[in-house]
Amino acid sequence: MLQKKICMLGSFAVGKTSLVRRYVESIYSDTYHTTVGVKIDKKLVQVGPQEVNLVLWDLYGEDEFQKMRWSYVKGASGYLLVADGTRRATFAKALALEEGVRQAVGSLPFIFVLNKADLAPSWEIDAAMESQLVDKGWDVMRSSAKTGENVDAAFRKLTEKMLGA
Amino acid sequence: MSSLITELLQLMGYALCEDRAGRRFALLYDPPGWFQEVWGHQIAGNLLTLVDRSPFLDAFLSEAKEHWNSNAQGPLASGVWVEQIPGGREIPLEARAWQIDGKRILSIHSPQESFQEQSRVLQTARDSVLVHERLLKEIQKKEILLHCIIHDLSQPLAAIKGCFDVLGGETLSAASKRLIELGSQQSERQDAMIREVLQAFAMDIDSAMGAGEAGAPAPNILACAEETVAAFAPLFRSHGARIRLDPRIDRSPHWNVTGEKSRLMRIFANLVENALRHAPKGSVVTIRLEDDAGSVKASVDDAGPGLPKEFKADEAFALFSKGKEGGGKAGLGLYFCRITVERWGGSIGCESLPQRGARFWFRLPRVARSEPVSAITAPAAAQTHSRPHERLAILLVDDDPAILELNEILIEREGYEVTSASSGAEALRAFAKRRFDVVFLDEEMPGMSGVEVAKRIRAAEPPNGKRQIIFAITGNSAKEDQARLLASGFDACFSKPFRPEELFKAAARFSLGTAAQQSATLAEGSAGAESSLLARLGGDAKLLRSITRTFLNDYPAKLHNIKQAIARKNAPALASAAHAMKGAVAIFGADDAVQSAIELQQMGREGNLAKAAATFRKLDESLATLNAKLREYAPPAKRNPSGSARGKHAARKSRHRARPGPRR
Repeated sequence: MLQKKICMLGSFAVGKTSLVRRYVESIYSDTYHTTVGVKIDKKLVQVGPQEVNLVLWDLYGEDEFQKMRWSYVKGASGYLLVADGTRRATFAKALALEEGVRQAVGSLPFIFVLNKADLAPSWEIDAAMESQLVDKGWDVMRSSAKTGENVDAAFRKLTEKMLGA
Repeated sequence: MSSLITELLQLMGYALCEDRAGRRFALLYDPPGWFQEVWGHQIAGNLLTLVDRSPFLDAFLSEAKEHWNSNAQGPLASGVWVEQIPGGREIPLEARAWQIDGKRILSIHSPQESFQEQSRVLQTARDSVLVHERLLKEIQKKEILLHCIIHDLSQPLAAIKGCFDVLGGETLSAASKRLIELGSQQSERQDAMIREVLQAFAMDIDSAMGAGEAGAPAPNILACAEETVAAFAPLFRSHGARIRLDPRIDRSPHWNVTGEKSRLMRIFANLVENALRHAPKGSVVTIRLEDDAGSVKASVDDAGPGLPKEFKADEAFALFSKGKEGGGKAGLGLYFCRITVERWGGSIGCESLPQRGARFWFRLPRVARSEPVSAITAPAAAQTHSRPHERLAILLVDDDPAILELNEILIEREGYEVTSASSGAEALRAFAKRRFDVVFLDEEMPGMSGVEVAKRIRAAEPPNGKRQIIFAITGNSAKEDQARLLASGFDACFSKPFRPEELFKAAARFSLGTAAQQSATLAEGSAGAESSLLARLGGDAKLLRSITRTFLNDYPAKLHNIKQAIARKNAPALASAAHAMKGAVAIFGADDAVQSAIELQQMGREGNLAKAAATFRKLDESLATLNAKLREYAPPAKRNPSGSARGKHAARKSRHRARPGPRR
């Protein structure tokens, strides 16, 4: 059985932990609990004939209080780059993190996840910003940990990218 | 290891183990309780396998081995991670790799207390940041809403009160006069209530922002520009572009300006985002700051295609204005910039650059480093035009034809010489031809605002010449609005509805002639029913007929604009056209039509036109009824022979037939 390490990257309060909990445990809470340190979960998935054990590294969100430790990304096969659609600043932070990963460990497969799709009327990230990412050849998905929209799909797509499927 | 040290380490919650072959570790003493909970079942004898239980530790041990092999001094720390044990409890852990006497030692401890403390502090800090972000967004929305409320509610109410004044002077029965008096009182009451609510609203915003209080520090615009560049650099890089601060900026002087930091940052952010939408790959967006005669001019230059030829700079900053390409969102960003900059006594604009690209700029008054923001004072009325014993010449400027006509007649009746203009451009043309004793400017006009007109008049004044008296007529009557208008070059401000007696008082204050002073005295001494406007008009029914004809001439075109906006599903155009109609019909107290116009305006603002056609039909019906009534009051004049667009439209729509009225 294959084992693949996936990192969750993004600014604080974008919903990284909620995405993991929705994906692994199918639960969601509206209350925001900030992540301190690293939490690791596992999920067994089937991609075609291949069984894969995904090891999900839920990293704390980087901000002025906690700086990213790039050694955590070593050994990762891919990552979800998460931004909060309702907070424009998290978009720029995600872009900076993508640059950081490339410098630290080189290019890795990733999916740019615009989370909180359930709050679409309050979004600050507009279609023009989104399409600029698509123009760069990035995989961009709108998700909602609250409703479950595109959560499984994002992890599945990333797994397929990691497997080169 | 001595038993004392072992006991001490146990008490401190540390587990120590030594690296052995095969990714196994030997425990150096009995580990603490939490260790048993996490790794208990991995212990065989005193050897244990750590990595099977913990992918985090597995990854850290790879780093630790490099550390051990490098013979580096001191420990290597893993950082905190969390292990979940059966039952769901989470245990925070931190590992360190040591090299002691050639032995490879791994220490693990559970920093439970410091972890909880760190979690609590970070939770509080991040919650605060989130609340602050939300607050800033809400404030931007509220400021725009506040601005719209002031304009939308005050404008028609001003006209309604004017109409009560006019009707009060008619020869009517005592009962009718009493009803008009009651209506007038209720209008006054409603006006006062609107202002109280808005005042409270404005205070709420200012207290939340920490702005507007005496002693609030003036923001440093250079520091704000630097922060903007730093914040947006990654976003620009991702788009293959670059943002920079003009390296030629002179950093030696202070760059403190009127305003408030978080809103100033929002202005920069809105302009920079706008520039990014048009910046080609490989291009550079530059923020410039220049000293500009007591002000600071900040510019955001992009290398995009520039502004379209037919583009009007003022429209870029209008409410719900959006670019055609790579458009923004709700069309609020640049509008927010305009109302904020103007509130601070500044100006804003845009232009194409000579070679390529566009420049969006704003200008803010420079303040002394220690000067608080609120220290805006009215300019002294220096030298004035003084033509005693002569009729004062007044230039009256308002974009609403009914209000313009009403004020024109009211002022003329007091013996003044009035020239009217319906736009800022028209006012400047009139001003270029001759001088006036007083210029009255409506603050909010499409195209060129009253503030802009005042600034242009001031800019054209010779340094030691006589000062033109300029009065503002505004629906924005909060203290900070008054201060803003005075700082923009106005000599006095009048809240809508305009009352001629206020002019007399102001004219007296500015020593504008004996006649004016006498009028002022008369006005002050004749308070009460007999001082109403129509008493002075002597029951001139021509006045009302004239206003009615103006309305009958104008409203078919307004109705057509609404219909067209609905047909084209153009929500912003519908909001704008319905707003114009609402103001026009409110003068005549046509409640049904006003209600329909309000509903259409709301639909336009919300972008939901599903019920627009049905509401339009109701409006059309109400207007047909109103048309019939008004035609009885204002007997028809000759048909418009000019064949103008307005005339043609009226001819097509017989039940809304326009009547050419004599324009004054």
